[in-house]
Amino acid sequence: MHRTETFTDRINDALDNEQLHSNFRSAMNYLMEKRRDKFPDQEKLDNLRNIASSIRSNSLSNLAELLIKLEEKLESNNIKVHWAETDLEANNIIYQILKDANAKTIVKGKSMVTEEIELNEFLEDKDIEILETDLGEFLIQLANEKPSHIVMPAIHKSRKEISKVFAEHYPEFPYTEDVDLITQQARKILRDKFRQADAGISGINFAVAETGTLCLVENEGNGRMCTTVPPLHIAVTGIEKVVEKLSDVVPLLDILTKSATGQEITTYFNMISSPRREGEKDGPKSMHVILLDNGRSKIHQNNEMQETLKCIRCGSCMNHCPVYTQLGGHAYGTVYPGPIGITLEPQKQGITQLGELTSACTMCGACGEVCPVQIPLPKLINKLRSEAVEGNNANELIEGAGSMRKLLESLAWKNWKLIYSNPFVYSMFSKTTTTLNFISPKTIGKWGKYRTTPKPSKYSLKELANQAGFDNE
Amino acid sequence: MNKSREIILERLKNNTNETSHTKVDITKKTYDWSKEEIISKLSENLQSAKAETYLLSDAELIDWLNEELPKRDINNILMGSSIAKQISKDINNEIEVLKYDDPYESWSEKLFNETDASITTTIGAIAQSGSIVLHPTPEEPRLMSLVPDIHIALVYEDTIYETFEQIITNQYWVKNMPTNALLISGPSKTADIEQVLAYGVHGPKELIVLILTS
Repeated sequence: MHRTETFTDRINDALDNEQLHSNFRSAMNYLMEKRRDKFPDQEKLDNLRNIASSIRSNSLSNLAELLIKLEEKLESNNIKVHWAETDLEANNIIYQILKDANAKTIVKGKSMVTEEIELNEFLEDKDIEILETDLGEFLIQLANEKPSHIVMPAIHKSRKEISKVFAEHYPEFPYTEDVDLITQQARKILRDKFRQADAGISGINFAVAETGTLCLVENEGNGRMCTTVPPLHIAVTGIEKVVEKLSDVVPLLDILTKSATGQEITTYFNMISSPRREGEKDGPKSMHVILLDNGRSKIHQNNEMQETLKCIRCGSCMNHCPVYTQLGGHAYGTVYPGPIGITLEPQKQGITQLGELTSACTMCGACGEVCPVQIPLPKLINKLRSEAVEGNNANELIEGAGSMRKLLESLAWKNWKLIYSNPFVYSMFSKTTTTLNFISPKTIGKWGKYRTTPKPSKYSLKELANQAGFDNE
Repeated sequence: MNKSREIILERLKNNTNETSHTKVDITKKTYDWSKEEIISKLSENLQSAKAETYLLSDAELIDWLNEELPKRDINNILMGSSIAKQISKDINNEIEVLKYDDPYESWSEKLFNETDASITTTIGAIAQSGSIVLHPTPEEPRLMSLVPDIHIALVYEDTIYETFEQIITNQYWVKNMPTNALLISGPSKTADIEQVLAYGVHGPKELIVLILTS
């Protein structure tokens, strides 16, 4: 996303916005509670997480092999496969397919990967109409905004705000703040669009190598519309979404829906294995799959950071993140916000660019505890922080490693190490600090702005302990 | 285009470090529910997702339709030829029977705007999650369970499985995946506006599951 303000500016704006706080606080409480209700038994949950994590790890260990197998199966099912190394390449491929089919109006199902490549902007520039059809995505497209949550895209907007935007764009409908009525109005508008669209574009939740099957998880039915009604269907997916076997989707689907929205299962689980076959009366006549890399194969190189790619995009880490709940999704300025965002985005776009995101973490560990595929998010965030200041870009573990090192800061830590690792120097230091406590600074930077500035005590802890009668041992 | 394929695969293969993840055995779960339990689990789960369920004998089906369809203002109903053959002579003659005989393109407007309801078969159901399972066919195409406002699905009691895994295995899905396989677990819904549940956003507003006993 192209933003001009700094991360700090966006944080300050978010913290000042009371409406945003209450929208997020209530939404996150709702999602956390719903998830909790679905996992009453910790042991069973841990067992399911072990299984899901193992399936995803298996996919990543054999990623090249599985992608080749997937490609082979899809092609034999009459689905054309395209590989894109970058976002631009993916956009160009999609544009070319649409152009060849003379497709001018597109309906799209909710897909974070198409947000990632900014497909809408790309196609709109080329005079192709692309309409979001997931209700939340449809509403924020009207408002000309971006999703603020990967599962609940319009979570930052109140019903009033939504009603206003809706009325501005569709004055033919009577103004209402009734959710059922807004939903029915949107249904009416979008049904015609599905029927008239030249192509449908969707993401993919799981791609099964064994059978060449694309799986989509949804509640609304717009995903089914986009993948069934128009004559052409293009599915876009990150290369990491492949799983080996059809049976692998069973536990993944189970833990995905429970973790994401606390549902036993979503309304629709849509498994597509081919375009319309001979004799069939509906379904797209041609299908394409775009396998997108966009930084993923680089993340895959490092076995520790590779775990980032296990993600099944349930959003549970952000639902449980105290920082995300305070800031909302937009403050991050990236497509993926929250714990998975601050882990994934600096790896994809480089630490020089986005390393500061890793500071949006309190190390509370909640994200790591709830992640359905056991991505050790706190550990990975910590690793990125350390790479940012201590890494050496020469070995290029992560682009921009070492770029956040600050001379003064690293000098301070060097001295700290010297003092704390030598008893003699330490005792000299503590004597000096306690004796000269009156010259300690009155405020210490931004941290001190809202806090009482700490002052070194007259006596060190050791001296106090001695006075209280504790001996040296 | 092929160049990107080579670059990506090359990079992925480059990582030769042995990853030492432990493969977890996915134990096949069985509950050993009785026939009554399996039916009641399926019904309860479907109902909690706002689907309606009815337990009927094969012979009661026509009476149910003749009584319920007019109550729901259903003037026409879309069905495959097998069901049509079975019920069309006994169905209330005020209800028009529609068939999906032609490709979608030739009658899309009528399907979208003038079709009140549909009735389809299923290849089974999953009790644990409360899902009906469809493998659409030329006789009962994909959009039958999506476009009309009301979807009525027939589930034969001996095709209800405990879990998703069981239906995949017992029906040998891997060997013959259809164009489209579907798990449907209620009417279309959304919670995108202030987490308020609203039904019938894009797909059917009502899902009615008729569990048929032999």
